[in-house]
Amino acid sequence: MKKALLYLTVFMLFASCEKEIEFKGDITEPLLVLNGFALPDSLLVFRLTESRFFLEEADSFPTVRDADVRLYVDGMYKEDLQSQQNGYYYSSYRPKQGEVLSLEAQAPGFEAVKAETRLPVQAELLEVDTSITKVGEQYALSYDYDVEAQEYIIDTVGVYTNYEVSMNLKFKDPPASGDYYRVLVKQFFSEGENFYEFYDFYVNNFYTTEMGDLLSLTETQNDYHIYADELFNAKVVDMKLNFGTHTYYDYQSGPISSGARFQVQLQNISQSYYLYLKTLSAYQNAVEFFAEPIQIYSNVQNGIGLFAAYSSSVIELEFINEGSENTKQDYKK
Amino acid sequence: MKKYLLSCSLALLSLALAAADITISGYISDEDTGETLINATVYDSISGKGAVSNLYGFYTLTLPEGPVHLIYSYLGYKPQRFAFMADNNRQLTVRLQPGTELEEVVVSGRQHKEFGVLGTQMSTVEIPVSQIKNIPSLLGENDVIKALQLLPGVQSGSEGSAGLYVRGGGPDENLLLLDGVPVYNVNHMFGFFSVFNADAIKNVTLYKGNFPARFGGRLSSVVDIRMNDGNDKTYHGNISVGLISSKFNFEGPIAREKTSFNLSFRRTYADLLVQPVLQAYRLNMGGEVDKLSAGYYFYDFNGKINHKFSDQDRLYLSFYSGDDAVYAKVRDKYSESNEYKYISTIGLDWAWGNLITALRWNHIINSKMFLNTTASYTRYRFDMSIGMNEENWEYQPPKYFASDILMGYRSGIEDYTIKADLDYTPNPGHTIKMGANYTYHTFKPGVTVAQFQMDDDSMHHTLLDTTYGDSFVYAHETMLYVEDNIDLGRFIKANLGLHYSTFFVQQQFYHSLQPRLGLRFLFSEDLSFKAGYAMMSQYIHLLSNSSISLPTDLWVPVTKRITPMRSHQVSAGLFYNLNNLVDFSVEGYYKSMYNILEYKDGASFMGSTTGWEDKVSMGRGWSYGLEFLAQKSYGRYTGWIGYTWAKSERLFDRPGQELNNGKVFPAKYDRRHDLSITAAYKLNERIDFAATWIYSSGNCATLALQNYEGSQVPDSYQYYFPNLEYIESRNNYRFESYQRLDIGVNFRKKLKHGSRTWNISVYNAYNRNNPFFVYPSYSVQYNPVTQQYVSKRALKQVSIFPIIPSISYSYSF
Repeated sequence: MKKALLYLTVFMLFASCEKEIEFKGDITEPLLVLNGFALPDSLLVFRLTESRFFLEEADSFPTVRDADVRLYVDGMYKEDLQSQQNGYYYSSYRPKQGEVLSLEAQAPGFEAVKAETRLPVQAELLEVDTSITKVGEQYALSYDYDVEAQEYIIDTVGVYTNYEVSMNLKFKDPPASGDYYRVLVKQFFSEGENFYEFYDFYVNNFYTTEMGDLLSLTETQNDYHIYADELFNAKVVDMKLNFGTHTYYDYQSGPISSGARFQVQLQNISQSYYLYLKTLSAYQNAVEFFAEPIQIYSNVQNGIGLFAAYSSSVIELEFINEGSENTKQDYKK
Repeated sequence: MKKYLLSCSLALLSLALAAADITISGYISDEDTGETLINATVYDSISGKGAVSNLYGFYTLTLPEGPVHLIYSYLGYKPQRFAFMADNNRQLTVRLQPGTELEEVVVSGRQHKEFGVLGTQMSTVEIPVSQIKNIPSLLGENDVIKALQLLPGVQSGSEGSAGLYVRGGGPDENLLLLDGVPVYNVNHMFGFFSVFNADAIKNVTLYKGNFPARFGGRLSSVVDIRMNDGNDKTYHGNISVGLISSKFNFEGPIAREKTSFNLSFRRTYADLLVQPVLQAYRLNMGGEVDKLSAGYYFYDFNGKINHKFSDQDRLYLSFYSGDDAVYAKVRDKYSESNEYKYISTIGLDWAWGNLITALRWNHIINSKMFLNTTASYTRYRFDMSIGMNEENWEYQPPKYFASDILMGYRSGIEDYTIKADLDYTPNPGHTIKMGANYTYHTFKPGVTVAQFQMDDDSMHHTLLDTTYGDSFVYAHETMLYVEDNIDLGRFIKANLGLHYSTFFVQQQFYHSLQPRLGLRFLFSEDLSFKAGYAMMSQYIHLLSNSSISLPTDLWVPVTKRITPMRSHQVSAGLFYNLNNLVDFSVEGYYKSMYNILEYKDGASFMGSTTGWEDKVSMGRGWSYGLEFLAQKSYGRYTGWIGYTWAKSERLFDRPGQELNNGKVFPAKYDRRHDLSITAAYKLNERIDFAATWIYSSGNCATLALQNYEGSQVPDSYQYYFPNLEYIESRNNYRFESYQRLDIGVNFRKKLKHGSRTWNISVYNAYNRNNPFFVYPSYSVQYNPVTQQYVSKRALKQVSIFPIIPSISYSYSF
């Protein structure tokens, strides 16, 4: 009897909780996935892949190489896109700002998909005002262990010079609503155009009032620095960017780089691109278990994916390394 | 000519005299307890006219002068008859004796009930509290809200929750009134229990549609809960001990048949029982933990005093206080004799709950006019504090150092209300109700307090002492209404109403004129057709997590951007009464809702109001359905069968507010079928049984059914193709159906000074694993035979309540 009671208790304690269940909805067939961007005066490049059912055991997505892809510009047929390796398709046409581009893709075993985007017209920059302020120096230290003295000898080997860059970016938002922007800052290294890194930056006083507090776990993140003109439509926008950087002077080898070169881009992005980045960012930052799942934006009819476009206004910014090469300092405790 | 005029005047006078009416009015109450009876009937068998007592037990019946034969009746009570010659207005207060024989219930009397075949009110259900107490429940805790969830048109949300989703509406669209005062948070223990202790309650009425003009402020339902007044003759009490809580109820006269009181208290005690375990754990830790206490409890205290000044004037004072509390305190102590001593204390205190009080004055102005004036206060608050304190003493040389850190968070809502309601009954076929209501709201969004102090031998340092958060928001809400319930001939009866409300907050003024209409067409004494229309408006929103109720859920007012919610509801149905034994109804409804809120993708509410307007989208919704109810409220067999077929959808397609790509999607708790059978059987005076069986279509959830290769983001560190999930539509996946059987049995026995009851009940008797949520899982397992790692994807379901038996004991005296 005691055993029976014990079994009953254990049964009741563990009868619930978690179990694997059979999926009883409609098992959906793979969909055609189309991804690509249009830039002014550049060839269009797309990739076609297959999606897979979420319970399927597979780690990669098959590419689709035998699709017929047609490009339309402002509603007029322009050309068939050529298939290349790995599911990539290229155009020979280079689109212009303001054009509406449509793609139709048909592949065996899939429903025909369609996507459309408008290549935005680049915003007119009215004024760019930059100031670079040296905010301090920081010495690089070396640590050599002196075995006899049984202590570390600390010496200065170089100096970092820290700067704060402030930039006022003034542009006019067009009268029609539905304009979307992305801002980004790159720093290039002397090694060449392909060597750069993205700089995180702050956008001050820019139509945002959000503040966190103790229980706030859900504040909107703007990882991609994207903005819709809902709050500043048809206005002259004064965007203030702040970011910090540094140069380094090595006492033995001299300046590591002769200066710092920055590129600030104000991109006019298509609505599809804006919505994709917005939902992608929310998806990548989702932490709350009870929150509604995030639908990542797709503008591909009968399929999935993103056909987006953007135009960029580029501001180059350069300054000379002012590393303190003649001021070697001894380290003082 | 003069002669002609004189003769005409005399004829009119004689007609007027012949038709002179007298009015009989008074209260109808329980003979044993003095509790006023709501919806009791008085019927004159000579004229065929009748009336129903109001929420305060008051009735008025105007009859032609002459002989009358009055029959007073109430379900479950022995009717009383009075025959006399009525020649002038008189007050007649009647006390009915509880009866057990069904045959004695007078058929004609019962039919005058407002919600029955003859009344204009539809989409309304009244559940006797005795039935609520009999329904088997989770861990033996009787629950008013859980009982309402068993009615057609009402859904429960997630498993075990006390949320109400009425006719496709949201959980914040229900006006829950305790003695006429709104209760803002009806949940205990994250929604698994409600704050209404059945021992303290006299009457529960749910309005799902066709709302009378006297109600307003919420879109989807009104739950009118009335507390017991207290026995005005003798002292009685009840003590019950259950698995998770104990209850105590005591009532009696302060001045016999003049002043009475009723007190009820309930508290859970798991925290008390767990203390010895904690102490054993503390000792086992080696003695460094000096003090250790932690726990969770909730309590409810209901109190009511009423005093009868005269037959015309009564005063009621109602009070409710209920809290949930989580606490923990850990104190560590280290000391090295003569060298140092160190004490560290970490404490946590959370408390959240309602406080409600109402002072009500009933005044009979004359035999046809009844005035009720109420002043009330209600507040919900959430207080949280976490503190850490350290103290160090060094003896050689003497040195002292201490630090104190405190973090606190407070939020809530507070209302002061005054209102007046006037009932005027010129004749039995015509009742006019009118009233006014003013509420001063104080919304208290989250406020965070942070303090950091340090002390040493020489001085005290305050390093941080700051309070931040949104400031209080004040709002003024007014309501005016008039309601005319009138017989239009023998077969048609109408309830015409107008409700006007205004809301002023942060320089924004909103107002709404809401027509209400109820019509009844009588086919026979047992069968009627009813139709109704109601427009409703709501000025406040509950910011809440979408799946479970949390104490941080917060009421906020409308703003400039978030405008008031509105709904229009039409309903129609057939009502049939079978031999005064069983009430049948079939109702259909269509409800459209505007400016309703949904959380945007990825957003939910966790206590911060900051930027809440950015987290929600405003859109519209509609729901329609068919409800069937067969209810038997009295006799050896009691219970009801309720079935609902319903559909509820949402559309959020305003520019910038799109959800689900601006396409229609099912509401979160859209369920096609809901069936509940509640039955109780009284075998004899000592044993009765009860059972409930529920079947409903599964809840909706949003599930990504496809994975795909996303687009790389140019000019970013994302150098790879992200593996993304594709959600075709919000709420696109439906859980398995929900089923549950609960059974219970009561063993009653009369003792020398009272009676005792043992209740044994089993929740989820056939241990159905009902889905609480499902999720896709991904795991990698090593196969030792093939020496390879194998990935596995599966869909997993989590259930929370297996079969749960419970037992309770109660003693009444």
